[in-house]
Amino acid sequence: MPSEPAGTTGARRILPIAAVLAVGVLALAGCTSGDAEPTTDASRTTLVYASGDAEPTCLDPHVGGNYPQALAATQFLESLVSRDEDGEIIPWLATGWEVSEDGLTWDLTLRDDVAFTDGTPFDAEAVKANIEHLQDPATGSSTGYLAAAKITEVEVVDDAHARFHLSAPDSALLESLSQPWLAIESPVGLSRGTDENCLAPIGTGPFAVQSWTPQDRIVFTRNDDYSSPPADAGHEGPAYLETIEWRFIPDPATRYAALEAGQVDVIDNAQPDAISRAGEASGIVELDAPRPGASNRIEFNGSKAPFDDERVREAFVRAVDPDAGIQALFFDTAERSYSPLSSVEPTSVGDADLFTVDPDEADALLDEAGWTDRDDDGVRTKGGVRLTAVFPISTNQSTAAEQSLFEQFAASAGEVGFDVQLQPLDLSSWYGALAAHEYDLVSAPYTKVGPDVLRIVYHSDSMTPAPSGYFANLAQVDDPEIDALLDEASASQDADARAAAYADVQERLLETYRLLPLYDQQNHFLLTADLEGVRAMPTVSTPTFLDARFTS
Amino acid sequence: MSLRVQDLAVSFGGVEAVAGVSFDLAAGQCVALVGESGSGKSVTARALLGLAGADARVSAAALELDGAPLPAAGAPAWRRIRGARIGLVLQDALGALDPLRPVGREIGDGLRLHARASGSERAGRVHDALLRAGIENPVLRARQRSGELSGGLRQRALIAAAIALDPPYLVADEPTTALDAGIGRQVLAELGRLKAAGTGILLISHDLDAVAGLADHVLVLAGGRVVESGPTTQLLAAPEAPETRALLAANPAGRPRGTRLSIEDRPPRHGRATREPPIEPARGVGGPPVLELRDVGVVHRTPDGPFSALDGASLELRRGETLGVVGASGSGKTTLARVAIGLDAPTSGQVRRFGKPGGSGPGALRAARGRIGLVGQDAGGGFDPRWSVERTLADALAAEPGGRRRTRTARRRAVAALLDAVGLSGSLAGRAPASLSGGQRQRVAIARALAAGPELLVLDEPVSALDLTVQARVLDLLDDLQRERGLGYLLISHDLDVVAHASDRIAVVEAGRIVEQGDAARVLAAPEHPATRRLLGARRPLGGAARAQTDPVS
Amino acid sequence: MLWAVATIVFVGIRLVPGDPALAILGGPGSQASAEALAAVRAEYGLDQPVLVQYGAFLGRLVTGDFGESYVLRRPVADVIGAQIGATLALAAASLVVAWAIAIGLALVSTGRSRWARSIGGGIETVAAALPQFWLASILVIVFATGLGWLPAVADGTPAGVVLPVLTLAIPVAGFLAQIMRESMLDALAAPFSLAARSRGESETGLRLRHALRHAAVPGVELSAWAFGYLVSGAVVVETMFAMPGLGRTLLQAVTLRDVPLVTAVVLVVALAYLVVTFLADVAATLIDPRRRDAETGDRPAPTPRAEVAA
Repeated sequence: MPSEPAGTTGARRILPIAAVLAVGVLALAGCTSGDAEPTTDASRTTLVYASGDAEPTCLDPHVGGNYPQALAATQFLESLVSRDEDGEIIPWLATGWEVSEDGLTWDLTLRDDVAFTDGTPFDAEAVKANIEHLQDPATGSSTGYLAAAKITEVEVVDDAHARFHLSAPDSALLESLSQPWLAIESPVGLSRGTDENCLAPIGTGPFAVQSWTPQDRIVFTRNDDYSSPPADAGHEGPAYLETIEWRFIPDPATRYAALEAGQVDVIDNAQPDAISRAGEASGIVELDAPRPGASNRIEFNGSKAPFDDERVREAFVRAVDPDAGIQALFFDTAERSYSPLSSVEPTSVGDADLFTVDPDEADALLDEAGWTDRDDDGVRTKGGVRLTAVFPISTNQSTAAEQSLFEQFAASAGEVGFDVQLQPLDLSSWYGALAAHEYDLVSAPYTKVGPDVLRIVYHSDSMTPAPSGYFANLAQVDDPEIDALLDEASASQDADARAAAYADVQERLLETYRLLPLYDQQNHFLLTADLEGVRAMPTVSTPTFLDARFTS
Repeated sequence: MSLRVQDLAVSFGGVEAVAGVSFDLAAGQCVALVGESGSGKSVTARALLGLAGADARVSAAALELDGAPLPAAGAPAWRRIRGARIGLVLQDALGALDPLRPVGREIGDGLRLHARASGSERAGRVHDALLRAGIENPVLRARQRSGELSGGLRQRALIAAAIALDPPYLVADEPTTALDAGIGRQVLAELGRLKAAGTGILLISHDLDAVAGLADHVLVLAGGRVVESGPTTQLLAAPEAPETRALLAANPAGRPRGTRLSIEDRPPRHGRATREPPIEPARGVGGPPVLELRDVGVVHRTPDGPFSALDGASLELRRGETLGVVGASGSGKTTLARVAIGLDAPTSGQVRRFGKPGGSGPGALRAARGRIGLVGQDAGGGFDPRWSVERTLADALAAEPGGRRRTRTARRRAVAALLDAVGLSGSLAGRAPASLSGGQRQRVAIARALAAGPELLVLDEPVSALDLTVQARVLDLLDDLQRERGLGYLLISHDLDVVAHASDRIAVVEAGRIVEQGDAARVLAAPEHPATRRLLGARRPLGGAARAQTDPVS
Repeated sequence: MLWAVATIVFVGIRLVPGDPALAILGGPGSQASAEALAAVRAEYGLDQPVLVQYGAFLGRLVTGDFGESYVLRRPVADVIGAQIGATLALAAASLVVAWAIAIGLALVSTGRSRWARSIGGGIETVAAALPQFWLASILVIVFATGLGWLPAVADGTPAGVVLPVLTLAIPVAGFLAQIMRESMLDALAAPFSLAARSRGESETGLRLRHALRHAAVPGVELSAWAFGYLVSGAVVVETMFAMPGLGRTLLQAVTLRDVPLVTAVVLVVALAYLVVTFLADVAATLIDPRRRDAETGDRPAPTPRAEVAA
């Protein structure tokens, strides 16, 4: 799904765990056994969360499907499966699964001891109702709809068994089902109609929506009957906290100030300067949880000049220095990425050697490509046409640090003769520019669990625009061999074959310079040090407070 | 028990404004300070209340109130003295009373500050003061604001404010200037009553007539120094200092037509210094009327119903003669002037200018432009403040036929000639109107009116805002101009003395009607209409007999 | 005038890129199908010629039908009704505080000591020039993060409202104080002030009883303008301090191309502005009844200055 407002930096961890969840790991270690209790402050039972993202217009993540919805839904909705830190799919509401030889039938075994907070039992009927809800045009789903595109029917075998019939093999089905946008809601709740369900969807999660005052806050209260944590959760049974208050503070400075002052306990979208400040302050800790799916990258519009020429693309890559920029602008909170995929994807592949900085080489490449003349401003021309690169920037998604980075790139590219025209636009206008093909460079994040995102972003099918005018293949990659590899990977049930195919695709993309990887999609959270037990779900990296409690 | 002043000196930033002023004001007495504007009268008066200004330096050999020295400037002790021991009555009641507050509150302030009285007691004393000042219906008036009161009531309210506390000493700063004669007389009468009741009054004025009736002792100031002082009768009978004589001479009351009012040397006109003897009026009177009003009426529509500003007014004016229109404020004089010149259209009747029926509005004004000139009361407001004198006059000259085609030098010469004609030095051409004195400004206004060579001038209160001596000079100038150019003047004023001195014929206006009209001498000697008689009766006390003695025949 | 505002909004929204049908269906990223788009266009009349749409738009407004928010799927009237109270309260409180600060500043800058006057005057000028974003940040840094006296974001307590109100009030106070000082100085030099002093009035009493009233009239007139400034400032303040209100609603609505909501908010604000202007006029006339008498609508003659050396 295309990401909404960015939070930002990426870190490419070599070790899977690294120090990503410093606090979380400690907490897990402390709580996994379930009996050793650190000194908890039992009097504090309310957690205040302040999000920098836009307030959702509907709490049901089936409708639309963006990251702010995922953040909130993680508290009260659950999916059929989850993912652990190694990238393996683990049971959640579904305990087991089997796929047929031809890949067109999936049998899921469901838990039979779970109920929604309205009393409705969780069963195969519920699963069927949810998938149908996603696929119903009236719901207006985009992310979930796309992910469930190949499901033709959900058959109710019995209460604890659901059979998915697909139109074509989909190796990413479980990964898709692990996302909050395909979470399972109470069918009775769904039947109330979209307008009412949007206000307070009913799920099976550790908390439930008690109230939502738009522009003020959402209040979640504990589900005392909670019994369905994913396999890698910290403990069984209900959450420790009683209430979560979910607020929206769009301005980064006041958001951080509120955390410092103790008015809120957790904030997201922490900016590099806040993170480095928090590092010095005691009392605040960081949770770094890069988002899955594609990395944060710049893509070249390969369907038209000048970037239809691979030499020009490479020249741009040689001319700019992301490492230096990232170091300066992100205060070491982001690590350089050389892969199209996020570092949390085990199948991600990258090659730093491809991206060495060499302005002289850039000049040579441009000369070779025929851009030998220069006009009065020093911009290269060929046949009277300037070497212009239009770069629309979405101000909703690109943070201030990122925009500064792009400005640096524009300057560096200018030195070898590019005329990079940065265009900061609001979201709607940005989409409009993209739909109209008015771009040469673009940075468009895409969050999805699993390497299947490569198919969505780089398969030639994705060049066809949806009725809304939107298309995901912004790099305009139209390569039959890449298409074949992606199709093969999508159909294959063999994990190794899949990985190899995706690796091949990534190498081809990198070697032909279809993109310039920068860093993981940044997703930093800052928490008060009084809080323990917070971890980011390894699915879409949203924080879960199931195990969270205050220490004194 | 007296207010004793000895060798009072006031300076501002090193520049001396007043020096060597000495007098003794005892209870029940009145001392008057007279002089032109800028002579230092008001500074002296304010210094007695410690209100000369933050940057004033006041020094005196003795400055004592009932034996005790007055406090130093800025000392808090002043607040106990001001209002309770020494009161101040200012000139302009509209400005001297806060327009946003009810009059009763203004009056009650003094009580609040000095007397220990409860709210209702204060209200009672306020009403009392209003009654004593001659205002009936004090309960209603106390609730009104100064803008809602008529001119006379306002002035009385101002007096009420001063007397509410019964201060033993009262300073009255130009209490009658700019007031209608009738109201002025009432104010003086009230002051007289206070004096009789034992209040010591320091009267400031540039009007010797007003002074004559009230003061026991007079000091004449000029340039910040006392040039003459003495008991009133003696001073008025045998003035010695030239300033005193000029002051007395400047009073137009009782002075026949054609006599000069000013006696000082003026800037040379036409290159000659003049000290002309009084000349018998022998002007080129005659010819067809340049202005005729026949049964003119002007009715305004107001929310309270139609209001008749003018009703059945008829008059005639010829070249070389002056028709003086006199009446109280609001009587319709200004409406008459506006209809005459064409600014307002009559709702009935006919106006003829230069023998032709005249309309009104922009077309008529343009037609008449150049042939009729207008001089108003406050020249300062009539000038574009950013234009120099030269530009203003050049602009007016352009209205003359052929005026636009002048070259720059020719324009300059024309402007210089105009300035000379009104007795101003050519060096003033480059100045801005704001930098000129009141008298100079009014002369420029006259020059502007003359620029296009008119045959008729409408003068609406041309001298009311001027000092007596300055007024004298301007009236003389108008006289000279009329004689030289054969101009017809429609002279409008509330001041009967001015009208009497300057007019050949007089029309008396009351409530929109011309109630009496005729030869000046006849109207003044044998008035027929009660309104005329009232106006005559309100004239200043310094009447005919005393005047003769001061006629400055050189 | 409301009609003009409505027309400007109608034209303005259409000039901004972005398809309203998409907005209705959940935004540009939604994978809306062609059928869905067509259905929405038909339902909302978006496929009609512009003039027809305009006519329908005006027609609905006249009957008070603001329609439903594209994005929030609720009647616009409900959305506004829920949010308007907060914004009006914020604006009103800010205006009151601005007045209090302005009066204090004006009193100081017309005071007796010269250095107090220049400092007061300097503060007024600086205050009036402060941009709200910057001011909000500084206030948060100093009072919330630094001193810890006040909360950084609104949290329902009175203390949480202090910084937002100050952010709005301080620039307005600067403007008000400058005008009021002019009037006060005029009033203090006027004949009635001399008269009051001659009655024994203290300088303080003079300012409080006389000068302040004169200064209030232009201040009241300026307050009507200030209201507009406060409402637009509310967008910044509500966003920064995470407060509910119309400003935030409007910002979100514009970003998401929520035409009915934008239209309604703009109209409501315009209407409120009209009402406030009217009230300010009434208040000014109450203080200074002379305004009623000015036939041509010109202001009455300014208070004359007393001649000191006459």
